[in-house]
Amino acid sequence: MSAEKKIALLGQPNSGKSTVFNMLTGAHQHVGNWPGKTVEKVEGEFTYGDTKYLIADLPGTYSLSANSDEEIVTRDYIASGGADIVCILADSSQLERSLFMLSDYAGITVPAMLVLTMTDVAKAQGKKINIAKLSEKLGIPVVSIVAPDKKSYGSFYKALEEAAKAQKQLDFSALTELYKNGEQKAAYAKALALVPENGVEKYSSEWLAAKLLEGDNAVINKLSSASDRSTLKKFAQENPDGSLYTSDCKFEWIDGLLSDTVTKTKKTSEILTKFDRAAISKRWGKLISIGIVLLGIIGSFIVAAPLMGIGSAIPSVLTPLINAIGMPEMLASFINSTLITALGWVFSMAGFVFGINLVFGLIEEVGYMARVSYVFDNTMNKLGLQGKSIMPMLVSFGCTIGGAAGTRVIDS
Amino acid sequence: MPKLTELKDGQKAKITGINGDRRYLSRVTSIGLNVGCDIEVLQNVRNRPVLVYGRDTMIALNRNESERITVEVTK
Repeated sequence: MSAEKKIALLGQPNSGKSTVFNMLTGAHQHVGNWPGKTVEKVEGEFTYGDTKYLIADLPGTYSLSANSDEEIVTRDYIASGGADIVCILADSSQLERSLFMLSDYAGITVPAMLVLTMTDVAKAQGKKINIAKLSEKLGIPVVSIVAPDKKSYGSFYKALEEAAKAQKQLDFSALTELYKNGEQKAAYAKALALVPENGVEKYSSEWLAAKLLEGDNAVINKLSSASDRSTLKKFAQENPDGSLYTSDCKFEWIDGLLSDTVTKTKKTSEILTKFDRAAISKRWGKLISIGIVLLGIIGSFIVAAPLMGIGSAIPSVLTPLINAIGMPEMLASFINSTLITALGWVFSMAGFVFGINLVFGLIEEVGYMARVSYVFDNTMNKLGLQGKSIMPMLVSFGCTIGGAAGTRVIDS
Repeated sequence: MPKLTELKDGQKAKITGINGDRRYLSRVTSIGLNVGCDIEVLQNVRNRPVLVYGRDTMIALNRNESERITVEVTK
């Protein structure tokens, strides 16, 4: 009998998490909801060696604080022992920022490994990362991959096997030292005294103390059984700047990690390309985005045209056929007006939805949509909405279903 | 101390303070903008989010939110 391991993918948005998940699982995945929450739960499986890996794609969040349902779902899943190994993903082209997730994870005692994605982009930027040294500093396996390139996964599978066997936990002692010796060390020491010495579930006392200092309500609720709730609340109120302090420590920890493991050989080139300049300019930004969206809709129709053509041709082709079979007239006209018409509609709609999704998916994929959100932020604000709600709104002109599905990107 | 919204295009600065509730603080810091972080203003025009570059990332920050960040101009 082969063994079974549960792994979870954790990473910030755009870290390549979903790509890695799709590459690993192929067609073996299913989508559901996390119990009691309207947060999507994607699970899948794959086999490597003689081990079957059950893999969960956790929601993409920037940190593990209790700001949203997504983050709480993610945290609880990890802490309750839902996964045997947590794969933390970080974008190596923006390592400093994307390692924040790792620093927020530090202190959770579930075995982990670090997966650096977009190594091709980092290379093009002239960044060199010393993987072996980083791994030594963190105490967990570190691998680098190019998420959409299957050939780059060799080291990933090997490291996963190793992580499953060795059960190594992330070494967070350096971060704890920073918490204990920084500006707000007195507050941290006090927080440490308020939490159970052996931690709760998979949360270490050091992690809980940091979250308590951040005034994390979910953690306060969790700790309430062990210590007095009003004391905890009072402590959080006395330290309103706690989260600034802990994030300082986290970034300092990251700086320490990267200082002797990453070398930059090239100077950062132009940040904004010429197109970017135009796309976000005060005068042309809106015009360009409206133009591109209109072109997108036209493009969608071109893509959709063949299927829609089939759809509208179905009744005229099938109706004479049905009439020719020679069944009772009433039955024939019933079939014609229900089944055939519906079939025609299904084809037309499928073509339309496919076209819209393909074209706008493409525009989104190249990253243009962020510029549209930026340009329309103020306009949408006047309607009481966020800039990024422009996308579902535009799609709604074409198809309400697509628009409604797109609203999930908006924070509530 | 000037606010982030008062910087001009191309100016470089260091963040000296972030004011707001806990939710806002943890959101802003988790995307990489913490006190002491070096940033460059890429574009700051009226009625548009402030576009800053920091920690290898381009970030568009809502004007109301940028109001609550104080900075020290470095260049």
